[in-house]
Amino acid sequence: MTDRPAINSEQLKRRILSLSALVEENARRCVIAIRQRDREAAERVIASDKDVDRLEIAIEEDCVHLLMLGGLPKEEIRLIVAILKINSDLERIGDLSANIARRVLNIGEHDQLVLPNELMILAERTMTMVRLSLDSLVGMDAAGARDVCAADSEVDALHREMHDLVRNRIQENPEQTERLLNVLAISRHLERIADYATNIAENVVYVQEEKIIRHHHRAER
Amino acid sequence: MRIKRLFWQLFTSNFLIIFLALLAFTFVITLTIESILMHRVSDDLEARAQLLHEDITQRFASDRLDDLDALCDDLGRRSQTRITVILPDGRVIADSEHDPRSMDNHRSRPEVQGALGGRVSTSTRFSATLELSTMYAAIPLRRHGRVFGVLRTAVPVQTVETSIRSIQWQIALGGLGITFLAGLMSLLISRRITRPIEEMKDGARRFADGELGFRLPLPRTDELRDLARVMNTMAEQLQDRISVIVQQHSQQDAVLSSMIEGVLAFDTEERLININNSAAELLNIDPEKALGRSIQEAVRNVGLQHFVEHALSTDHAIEGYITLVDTKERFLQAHGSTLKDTSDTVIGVLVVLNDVTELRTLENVRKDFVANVSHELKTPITSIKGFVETLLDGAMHDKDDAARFLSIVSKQADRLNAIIEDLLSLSRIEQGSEREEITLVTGSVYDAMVSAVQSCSHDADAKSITLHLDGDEALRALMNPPLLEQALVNLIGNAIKYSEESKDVWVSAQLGDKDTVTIMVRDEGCGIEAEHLPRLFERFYRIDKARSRKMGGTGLGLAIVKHIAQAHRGFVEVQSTPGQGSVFTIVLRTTIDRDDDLEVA
Repeated sequence: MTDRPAINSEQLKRRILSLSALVEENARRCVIAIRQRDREAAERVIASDKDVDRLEIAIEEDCVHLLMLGGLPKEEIRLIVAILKINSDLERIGDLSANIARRVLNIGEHDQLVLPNELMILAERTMTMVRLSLDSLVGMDAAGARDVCAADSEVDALHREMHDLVRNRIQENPEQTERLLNVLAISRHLERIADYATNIAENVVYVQEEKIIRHHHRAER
Repeated sequence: MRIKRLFWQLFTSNFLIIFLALLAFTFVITLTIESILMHRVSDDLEARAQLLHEDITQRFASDRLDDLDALCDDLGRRSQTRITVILPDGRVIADSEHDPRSMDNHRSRPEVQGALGGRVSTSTRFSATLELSTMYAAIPLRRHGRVFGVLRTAVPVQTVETSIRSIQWQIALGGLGITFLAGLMSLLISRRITRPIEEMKDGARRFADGELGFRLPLPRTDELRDLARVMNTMAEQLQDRISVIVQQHSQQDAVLSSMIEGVLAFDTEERLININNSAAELLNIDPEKALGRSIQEAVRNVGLQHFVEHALSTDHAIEGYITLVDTKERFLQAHGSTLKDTSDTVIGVLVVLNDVTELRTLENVRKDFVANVSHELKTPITSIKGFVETLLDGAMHDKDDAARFLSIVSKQADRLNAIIEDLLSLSRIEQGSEREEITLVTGSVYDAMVSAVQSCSHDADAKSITLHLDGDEALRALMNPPLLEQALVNLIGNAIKYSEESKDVWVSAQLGDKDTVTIMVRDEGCGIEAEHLPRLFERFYRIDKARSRKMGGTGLGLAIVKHIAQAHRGFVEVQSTPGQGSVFTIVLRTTIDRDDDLEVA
């Protein structure tokens, strides 16, 4: 354990919100990097991922510290457990944003490759999901969180479309295979980000309604 | 302590005082009357005894005691008084009501003892013989100074008691009436005293409810009148002060909400306590929802969170930059200073946000420009220097090499010249249009187009490109003919440069709406991707640096076109589809009447 001063769950909540702000910013910036092929933005996302990792570790230690205190009410323990999970989900979104940024750097600034419009739609949808899931985290809004979970299937479908699209393009222009694979990788990363956004929303529902929904709606698909 | 209403306090105390006074009065009166009556009865008894005294003494003297009892009987009956004669040893020898022989020894009776002692004595008590409350009076019977017996008279005092009771009843009845009346009066008086107070209380409550325009009626009591006056004055001042505060507040609100800068205030717990419209818009947050929440909840921006944290931790004003990332990045300049209350304690922090995205962009453009100019000038100079050094190193002795190198040097010098020419003309146009030194005359658009096309025909022929000219010869617009021609040459030159061989380029002009003329240069070249279009007219902005330079561009052509269009108080715009070609449009004005500059639609 570190020798940082002990914190309470209110401060813990503020920290996780702080992390969420940072992660959202990174995710948005990496979408900007995709759209404008902005190397600078991509490099900032990669650099900022270290901050995300540091904050994640700090929050995890805070959670453990709080749990070790013992004697907490049931709701509080539930909240801390949810924060632990949300914490690692956020960190994964941060990682994926950095991965996307690396792919953008791979594609290159002045490459003639035209990014398919569908990729931008997928990116926008994913960003909307990230924003809504973090909104539901801020407001501890279970209804909003359920909306996020419902939107996940749309992103999954978009990703499958991307997959077909990239395959067709590779067949048409085999010399662009390398670049198109980068596009597919970005699409996959975005789809994973949407998954983690869904996880966060599920944990919000878990805290608010004391109900674990993560295996229910998957079965409905 | 129980809180009672003033009215009831006044009423009950008044009432109690009256009631107690009456009670005491009744008690004293009854006692007095009773004692007067008793005195009269005892005086009466004594008098009767004194009347008999002589007679009975004589009977004792003549020792005629046999008919004493009969005498007592007779006298007693007639005077309705019980008469008893008792010897000093307590033996009863005569009694008007009873047989003396059956009676007990009376020596222990208080009045008898008193009389035996030589005094006239009276006593009131319950008589066992008569079974009634009775008053006795006893006088000593004396002969030669010696007490030889006691004469006692007695009447029942029941009559006295009965009359006292009746008097008491009357007094009580009267008292009840008086009490009732007094109660009624005390009710009225209490009411009279408390009513104005109640009215003032209601008035004060209306003040408290914020109805400060209300004025208390002035009561007739002096003290209350003063109080009402003071309260009215207080309400007036309060009203004035509140209206001042409300006014200041609304002024403050107006100032805050009309500010272009975003203003946010946080308390020491980093909770949002105030936010103006600009800040809400800038940060895309709903003020209703965000107020009172912590900054982490209200504003999802790490930069601002850190900034507020920092502002709270220091005593002096701080400054910083915050990046907002939405669909594009925005740069905010932030000023933070602590908020202090009157006692100088820190109660929060005020953050003022200024959107400097545009400034930043401009600055970047300027920075890019300087870097680009240096780079563009450096390239031919390096080349010239390199070849000149090679020549000096001996290459000048080889005739072929020397000729080849010198032609390269000449070409690079031309290039340098072209760049400097362009820069100069750019700054001339800029300065000219700033100082309004560029004279605009109404001229033939067609003529300008023809001479521009002629200037470019050589280059077009070299790539077998056909130049099509299409326009009404009568079309006139405000122009500076040499400048307009230069702009068209630049556009047509670009069109030729970026078209493949044997393609077509169209130059056309037509009358536009709102007193304008539009000149279009269309090509079937490679086109330009949408992301480049916004920056296309910037100096030295190049889509593909290597290709542009290879084609001999200076990177300033389109910037010059833009500035020429602006000097004509018109504008230039571009539409392009990658792979299909581009259309550049210059819009000119036909009259000078309209004062406003044309803007890109």
